[in-house]
Amino acid sequence: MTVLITGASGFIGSWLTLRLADAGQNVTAQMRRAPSALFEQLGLCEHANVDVVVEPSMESVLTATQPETLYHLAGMSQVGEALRSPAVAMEANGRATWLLFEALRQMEVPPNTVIASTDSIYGETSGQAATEDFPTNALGPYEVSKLMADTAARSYAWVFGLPVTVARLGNVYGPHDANGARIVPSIVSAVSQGNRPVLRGGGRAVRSLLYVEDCIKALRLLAEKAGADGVQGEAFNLSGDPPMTTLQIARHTLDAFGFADVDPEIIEGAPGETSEKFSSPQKAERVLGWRPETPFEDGIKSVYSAWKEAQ
Amino acid sequence: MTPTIDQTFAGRSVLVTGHTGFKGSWLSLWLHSMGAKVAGFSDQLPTDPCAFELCSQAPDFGAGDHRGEISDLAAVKAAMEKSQPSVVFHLAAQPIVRAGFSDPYTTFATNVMGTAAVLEACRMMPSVEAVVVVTSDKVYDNTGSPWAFRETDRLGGHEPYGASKAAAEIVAMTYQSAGFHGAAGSLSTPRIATARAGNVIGGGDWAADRLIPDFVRAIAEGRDQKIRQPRATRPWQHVLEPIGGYLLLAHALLSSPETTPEAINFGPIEATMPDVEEVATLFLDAAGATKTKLIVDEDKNAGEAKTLRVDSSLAGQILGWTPSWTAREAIARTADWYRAHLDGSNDLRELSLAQLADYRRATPVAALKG
Repeated sequence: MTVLITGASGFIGSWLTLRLADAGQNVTAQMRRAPSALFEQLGLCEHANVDVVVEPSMESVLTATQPETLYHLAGMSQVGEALRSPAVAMEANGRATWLLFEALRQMEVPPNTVIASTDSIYGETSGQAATEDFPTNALGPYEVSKLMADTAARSYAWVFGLPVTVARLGNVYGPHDANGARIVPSIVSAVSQGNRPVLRGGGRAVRSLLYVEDCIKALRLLAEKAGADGVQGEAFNLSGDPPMTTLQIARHTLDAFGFADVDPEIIEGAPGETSEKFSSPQKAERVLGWRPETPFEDGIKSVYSAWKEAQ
Repeated sequence: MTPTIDQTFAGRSVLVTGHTGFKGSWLSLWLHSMGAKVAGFSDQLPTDPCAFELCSQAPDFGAGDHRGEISDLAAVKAAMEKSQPSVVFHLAAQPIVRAGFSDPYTTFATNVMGTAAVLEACRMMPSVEAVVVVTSDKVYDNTGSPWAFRETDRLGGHEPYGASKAAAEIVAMTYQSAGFHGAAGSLSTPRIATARAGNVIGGGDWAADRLIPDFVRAIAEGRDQKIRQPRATRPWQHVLEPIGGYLLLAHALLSSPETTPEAINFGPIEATMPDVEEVATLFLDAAGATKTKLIVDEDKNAGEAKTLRVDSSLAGQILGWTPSWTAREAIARTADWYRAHLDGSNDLRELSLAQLADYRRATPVAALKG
């Protein structure tokens, strides 16, 4: 079994590479730049089943590899970066995806394909868990660029019959996530340096969090069934359940790190500042039989153990 | 396989104090539906109409429908002698926060001495194996900490209702102590746990000064209803959620007494709660109210808007308890119930049993499924 992962050097990409390679699959790990610290730390550069390809052109890697399965994770993953360079975000997340699909369309046996989208395309969900048929309502450059990829992927599936499916990911967290702009790493970073975590919007912002191992299980199921009825051309929310406020996230993180007596610094903002964005994973449960299994209390303990070990 | 609560309660003798109340009626209905032999002890019917009359009904109490003051030890003892309960759920109380301000003495007498009378009677009653004492999420010393309260947080009380419930917790601590029972020569040392839950909604509540009952009265009388704190949120939860928790707690006290905590919180786990205005709007809509309009008359000086929350992680870890219905689902079920009542339905018991069956289908808690 040959698998191609684009953006294999990223947080989810690295963990997915490890799990697939350990399961005996031959993984071609495409990345634009040299391997990330996490990718190296997981021993993936030396892994017998991993072929590291540093090459910006995903199409040429795809054509050369002729994989049976494709996970398209490459793109600009930081909301802040997309705000600074919207045009680059649209290129990297939008255009790059349909160029890849054009190459896919030319293949004799196109691979089963999963692309990583985001559940932030729904925008503010006003206290309700967005289902996949919820109107998409977010106009930030990151969200729009991901929505372009999401829609293009489903279009190629429906119009050209390609075995493609879309994973709308919630906030995926796990050990060794270095991206300090994401919610869990930002709290972990404050807490591990002995600082009080700062929570804006009264700590009432709400997110779905998904443990990286649960995420990988779902991605693998989607890849397996990408050509099946009810999966091909469909989008699936992969998000943790139940959604949590940043205050709850901070409390469990402080507990796991042994700082149960530290209070967060809560900044009350204007009423509009509290953001509620979360989605329901019920469709994935119904169609794939997948459910997030790791409670946040347990997932954050693994993050702590990994952090402790790295000290 | 987790044994279900049906296996625990079928044929078991159970005494519910406060069985004519809103929570007591739903608890009794659930117990009865599982084949428990239920007895009740209450002073009177709390309101007219009330859930007891409409959905629970006296014939359910094959083991006795006793009336008396809960703080009257002799009366409580006599009821226990007659019903020989294996499990006691102590719900009888003065349950209204605002009534605590108009009549603090009765609030203390009922809530503190009532608990003492029930636990005192239990320690002389060899049939009793487990007691669940229902207190409140208002038992905690509200220090203004940002965290939701955990069971290990300090008890306190700056108003009579919360203080009386915190005092009931302390009374329970004495009766949880093996040393006390040894020294006092108790005939029985049942396992006791306190359950701390908050405000609940559901069909059959007509108490004064509560949001949903206020709207039900307004709809019945065809008038508009004011709200003063549109932006406040409360931990809205359906009455069946904590009741499922109480049943699981009693089940745990019987099956694994050593690992069951002595106090446990049952609160919502939802990250977001609709505010008062949204609840009122959803409720009016779902209840099909056409004549009653919602009037928002915001009281900017109101000091009560702070949300009080409890952390229910322990109930999840130890009992596997988790709520099932979202606040919005709870409001919808509640509105269905009152709409049937307002339409003149005379089979609210049937509807209540149907809602119970729905709940038991929906719950993710295996032991509560049925």
